[in-house]
Amino acid sequence: MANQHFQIVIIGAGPAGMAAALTTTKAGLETIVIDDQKDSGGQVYRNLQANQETSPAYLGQSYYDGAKLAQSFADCGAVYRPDCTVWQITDMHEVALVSRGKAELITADYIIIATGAIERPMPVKGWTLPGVMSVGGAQTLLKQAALGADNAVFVGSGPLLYLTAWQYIKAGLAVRAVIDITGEKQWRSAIPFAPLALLQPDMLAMGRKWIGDIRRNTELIYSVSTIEIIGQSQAQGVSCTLSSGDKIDIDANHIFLHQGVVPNVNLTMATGLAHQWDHQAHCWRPVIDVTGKSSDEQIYIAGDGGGIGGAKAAAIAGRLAASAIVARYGKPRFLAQLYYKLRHLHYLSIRPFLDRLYLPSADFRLAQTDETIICRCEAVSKAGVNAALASGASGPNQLKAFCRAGMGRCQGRSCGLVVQEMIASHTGQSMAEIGYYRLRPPVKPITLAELASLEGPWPD
Amino acid sequence: MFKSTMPENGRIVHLQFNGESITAFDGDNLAAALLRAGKVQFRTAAKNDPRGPYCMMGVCFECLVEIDGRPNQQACQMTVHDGMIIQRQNAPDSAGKASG
Amino acid sequence: MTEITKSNFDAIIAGGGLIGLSIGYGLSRRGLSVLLLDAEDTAFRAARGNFGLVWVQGKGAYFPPYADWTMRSSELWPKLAEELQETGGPALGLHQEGGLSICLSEAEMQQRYEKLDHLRAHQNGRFQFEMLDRTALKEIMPGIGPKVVGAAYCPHDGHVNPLYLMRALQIGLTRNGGVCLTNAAVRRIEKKGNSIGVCTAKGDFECQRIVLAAGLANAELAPMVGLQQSLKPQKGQIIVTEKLDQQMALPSLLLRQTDEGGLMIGDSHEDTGFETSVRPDIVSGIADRALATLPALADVGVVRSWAALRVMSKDGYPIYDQSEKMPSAFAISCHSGVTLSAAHAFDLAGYIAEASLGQELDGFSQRRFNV
Repeated sequence: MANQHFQIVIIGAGPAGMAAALTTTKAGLETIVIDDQKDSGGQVYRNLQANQETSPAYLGQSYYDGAKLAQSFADCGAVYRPDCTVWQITDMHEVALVSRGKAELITADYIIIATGAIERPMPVKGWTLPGVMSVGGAQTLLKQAALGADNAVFVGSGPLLYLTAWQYIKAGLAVRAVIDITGEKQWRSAIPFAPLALLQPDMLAMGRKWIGDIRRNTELIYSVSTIEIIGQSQAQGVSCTLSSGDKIDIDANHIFLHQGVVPNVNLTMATGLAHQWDHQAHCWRPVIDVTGKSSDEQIYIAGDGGGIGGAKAAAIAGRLAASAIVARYGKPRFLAQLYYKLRHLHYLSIRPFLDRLYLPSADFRLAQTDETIICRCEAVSKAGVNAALASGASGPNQLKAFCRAGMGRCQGRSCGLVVQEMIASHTGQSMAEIGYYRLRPPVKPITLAELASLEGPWPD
Repeated sequence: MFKSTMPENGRIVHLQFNGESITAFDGDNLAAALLRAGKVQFRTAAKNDPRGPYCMMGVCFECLVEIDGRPNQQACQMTVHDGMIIQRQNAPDSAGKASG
Repeated sequence: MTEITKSNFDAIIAGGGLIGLSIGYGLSRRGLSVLLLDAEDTAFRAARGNFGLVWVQGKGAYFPPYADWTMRSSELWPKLAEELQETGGPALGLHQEGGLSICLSEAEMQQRYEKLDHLRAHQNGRFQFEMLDRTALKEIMPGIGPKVVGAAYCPHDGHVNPLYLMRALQIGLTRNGGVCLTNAAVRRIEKKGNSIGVCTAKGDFECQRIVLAAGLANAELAPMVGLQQSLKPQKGQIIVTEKLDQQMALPSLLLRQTDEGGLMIGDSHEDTGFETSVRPDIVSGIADRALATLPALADVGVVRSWAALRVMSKDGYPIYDQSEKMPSAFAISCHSGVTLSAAHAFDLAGYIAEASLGQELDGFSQRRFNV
């Protein structure tokens, strides 16, 4: 296929990308939406259209709330390209992608990156054993394949963990236990922001309902200080120590881990956009203005990829970025923009509370034992990273060369934050000073044949 | 063991995992189909570490398998087809061999 | 954090790349006290983008002093590797069993032959090579594609892990009492009595000798010691694949397989100025040529790509200069920092320690451009 030009290229068909496309197509702008999944909806509304046919109730109303957006997106007239891997955005605003084994370049006036969030790594001993999954992974199985496991243990904290455990219970699955790592310290730092969170009473009520139902249907374990997963070739149980000193061992073949989500910054960083360390949410985020405009005038970032806000905030952020771009084509929409800005702020009002409450303590952000794997791809343990630090590695990139952590296929998605924080606690520098892995294209691996299949003509 | 939370229906297709026949439904996600069949280990990573699907969204690369002779395929991003031959990816290091 | 307890050194090296580290290590092993000043992490760093070849074939075919110097370095390499290993650095992965230049047409074969034959004539038999036809090449690389016509094989060539080399040199330098200071770009250099004063972002120091080895930044630093270095950047892009079983026993100019199993692929030479963006069209061309060489790599995953800037003089050969105005000041600019590392650590460091560049480096002065 020859290289093509679109006025708007949107990367990601989750709530932010879909909503942005509604606004740009309505303004008559040629829009293409590129997504790596087979269906629109992103992770949060994954497989929504198929699930509507059978409508399992256990997925909950907040999931089906996405149906209207997905339908409007399907009808909006944007060119939709599912199942594509975007591997690079060049400084000339070319989007390089692979579709069915063939590479293409699509050029754009404006690019909206809406690539969402990933789960924060949770490096506990044994977390690489088969049978251990992220809670996000377990939820995806439920949405995508109506698949669940009896007698699973959920470990960690955060809304996605409670929601998924609740969905499990509603699906009639026996949940063995929920081990909640939220500590008193987190409650103390979050409580002052509870009044602001009251601006989102529905969300608070939903959370209370999930936790209440979990409490009634399974064992909810609090005040844990250590966690490890037992097993040789696959998970056989969880062992945790309570702050009282008591030890609890639970047999389980399926263990689901989660301690929050962070912006998926791999594409935005590899594109060379400016990023900043977010102290409140303890993660990197791209530097964006209120409309989502990044440090590159032609690139906007919408949704969780610009800072975690959840699905509803993401859809509004998509609208906001798109209407700011529409305005740059000489079609200002002052009222609409004001409305989106206010609604966005409203949705975000719960974040100061949630970010503090569910920021895991350093015990769980950093691994607790020497043999715990930090870099899953290269199987580098905590001791391995520490050895590299002891021999003088002063930053993430040097450390990569010293012990190979972050060199694998996932490009640091599973270890970057952990390694960075280990360096910070070793050198006494701040997370912002340490920085992150220097990320380079391809953002996701592509084959040599795919790369070689790219055809010209090339811009000068 | 993973099980279905809704009544199962759909056209049955046949796959092979490490030489063992398993059944799935047409249109199934491959990682889901293997998990439903009780397969949790998909590969070994560096240092002989057993691994299986973790994130189910294409981020972690833990579910790599060899499909119809092509190594390094992300099972969580693939759809099954009848007659699909899947091999557990065993490698001293993640990649294994180039075909040839 | 590095504590600096003294302010006067036998030698200061400006530049923490392969050139500066090799010379700094060489001076330190001769017992000189060395301070190595390195710039910011974000500086243009040719060393971090190095392909890792210890390469002789074709080098200096039409500039004999460079051919001799390169050959000399290749011969010194085993000694350097052995010495660095003894200091406890990482295994360098040095292999010097020869290298290939793979040709995809008869014209390429002919061109290659003429160049190497010219080199052999000059070197009086010291330089050896062999042209391999398709059948002979197939014995070494069974997987070559139908477009491959043959290759030039040169027994002097080899390869090494450039990142581990840098680390080993740094460890060696530190073991010998040398000090490395980062974020310490040089701002000013001036005579100070019998010493040389060096003003940096991390404080002021004095030394008996200064070596400018700051890559492209040498163009700005050299005038401070009364020298001139005309340099321009030349971009090279590289892609790296996932780890594989052995695909090739010998490295080539386009492809080499590292000890870990990944393939490094790249041979671009671009005049695009001071920028290091990865261009999809260029890396696609690199992938295309790699597949023409080894078609079985089609399904192999590319995990990384990057671009770096080579340090090029007007004719592409190194510049070695000693200042007349400030006789204990030297300026060194070149690409091929891995290949020349051994000559730099042993011979060149010796000359600098004795404050006089050797005869064989006469032809490398910037003055050659003034004729």
